[in-house]
Amino acid sequence: MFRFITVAAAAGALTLGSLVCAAPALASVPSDGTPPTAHSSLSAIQQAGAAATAKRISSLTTGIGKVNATTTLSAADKSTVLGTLNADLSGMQTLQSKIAADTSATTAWTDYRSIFTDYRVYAVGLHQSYIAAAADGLTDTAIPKLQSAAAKISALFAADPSKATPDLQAKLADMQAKTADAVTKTSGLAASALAVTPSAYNANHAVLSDDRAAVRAALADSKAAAQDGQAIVAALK
Amino acid sequence: MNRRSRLAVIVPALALVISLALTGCGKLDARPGTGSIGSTGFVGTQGASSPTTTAPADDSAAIDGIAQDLDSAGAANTEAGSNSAAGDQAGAAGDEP
Repeated sequence: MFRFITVAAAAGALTLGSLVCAAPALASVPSDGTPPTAHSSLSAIQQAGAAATAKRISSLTTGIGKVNATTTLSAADKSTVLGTLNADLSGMQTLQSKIAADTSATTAWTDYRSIFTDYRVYAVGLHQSYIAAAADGLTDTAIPKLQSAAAKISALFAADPSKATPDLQAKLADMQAKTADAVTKTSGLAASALAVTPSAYNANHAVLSDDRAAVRAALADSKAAAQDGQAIVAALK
Repeated sequence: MNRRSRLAVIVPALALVISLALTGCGKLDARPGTGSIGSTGFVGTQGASSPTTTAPADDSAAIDGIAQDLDSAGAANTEAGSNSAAGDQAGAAGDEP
């Protein structure tokens, strides 16, 4: 249940650059072995449950450490992510012990399913954490710096109009437009991603798709704006 | 011309040269500090403090500031890109039914 309280899940498993390192491990899920079914034996379900929970505990532990060390997430988002990650970690540890102690296949199967349906450590937690970290990085650092650079370029052109060639003026205009687009696309993005819950994902597996697309588009805008700025600086030197 | 005659010419001439140098090429008290001796401005420019003559130094500082902003933005973009890619990988892990 605490699942619902926490916004997303294991988000953490990563965070920033760290998130990057954790991703490969997330993708290599085969260690879970052949997925059990409701008709599998108790031992088969317990074995799969042990592997699935151990893997998630490892990812969450790594993620919590990375989230604590990151400077990309805003303080508020970091708090949200850590709350989710720690709750998920506790939940996985509880399920790990419970599944190992289960005495019937039916109960073990229910607990095993809970690993996924109640937590969604990878599909929601980690995913939403990456999106939030990227969005916060753009919102809190990249975009303000681009806006500052554009303002300084404008001041430079105003002070010495001879520097404001048509080509450089066009680049500045594009830089400002791309930055404005990035602002629009990242507005509320981290909060939106972190608001997704496992239950929302269970109802719609594409629930994070829009946020994912938005962060990628905003990143493309931010990169394009930075390139415009670099071109202007190169021309002015 | 004897020695006394030469001195009579050289002394006034030296006095004139020194006077010109200290007062700014003949502009006595016209703009103290803009002369060629001990001046901190640009030689021969009436508007030593005009933007045109000081722009190079100012532009350099401004451009450096812009470059620093862009470097910071670039670093943030790189990190955001890494996180975005990691998010894609996590979401595509597909290990959850």
